[in-house]
Amino acid sequence: MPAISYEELTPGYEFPSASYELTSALISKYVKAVDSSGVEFVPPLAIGAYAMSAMAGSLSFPPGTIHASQEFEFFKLVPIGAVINCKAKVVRKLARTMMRMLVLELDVFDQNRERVQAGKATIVLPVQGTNA
Amino acid sequence: MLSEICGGKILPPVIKHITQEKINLYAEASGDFNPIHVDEAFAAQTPLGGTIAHGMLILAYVAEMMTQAFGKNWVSNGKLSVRFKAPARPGDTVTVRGKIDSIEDKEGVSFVNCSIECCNQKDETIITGGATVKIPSQ
Repeated sequence: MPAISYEELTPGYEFPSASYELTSALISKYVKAVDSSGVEFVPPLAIGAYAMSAMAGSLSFPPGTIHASQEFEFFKLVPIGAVINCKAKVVRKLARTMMRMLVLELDVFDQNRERVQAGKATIVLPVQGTNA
Repeated sequence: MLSEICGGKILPPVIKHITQEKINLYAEASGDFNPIHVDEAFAAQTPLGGTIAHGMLILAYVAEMMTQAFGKNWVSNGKLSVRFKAPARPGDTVTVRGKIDSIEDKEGVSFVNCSIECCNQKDETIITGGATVKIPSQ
């Protein structure tokens, strides 16, 4: 499926859901990258990061897009090896002369269809013709 | 874990030094290769003037502080809301601070409300926000 651009997005747009397995190798890589120590369970922000990464795969955002705010709510411990399903949708889109903004909502479920995490991200995209 | 949870309690801070290597490592782990984080030549041409750390990397340090303070209660019943006020750059030292502002007891559950702030070595605020942890009352 081709990536969708900012111009094509509208409030209510739902991204194709994405699934991935929280393998031991994936979590070890994350834990090392965030300079943390060993874990007994999946760090919730690892789930959030991978969910956003999975969603980003279906987006075509310009270089220089940055994060303005973030909300997360965690509902349960997630064991290593769990299979996660992520759903995301556009809840707000704003375009001004010097700024373009998107608010995205994220819901993450485990293989038992239990909600494990919810999130809301506000991202700011560079206006075309500028770099950031 | 905190030995005592009470209003006004300062959470043990987390201090991290940001390097381009750490940013690159996070890009590899998360799959976020936005050039504002990893391409120094590109980032130098933007108004930001250079590469910046992923917001989610700094948030991971916030989560580390909360996990150290509240353990599994944070991981399974935590809520976080933050604004990214300024970027963290390679060479910065980021200090994550938190404080318990209030505790509300409702139907056998304590809602521990914390304020969160991340600052750089110049004491400039990078992230500000709040977190809530639900803890079953003793």
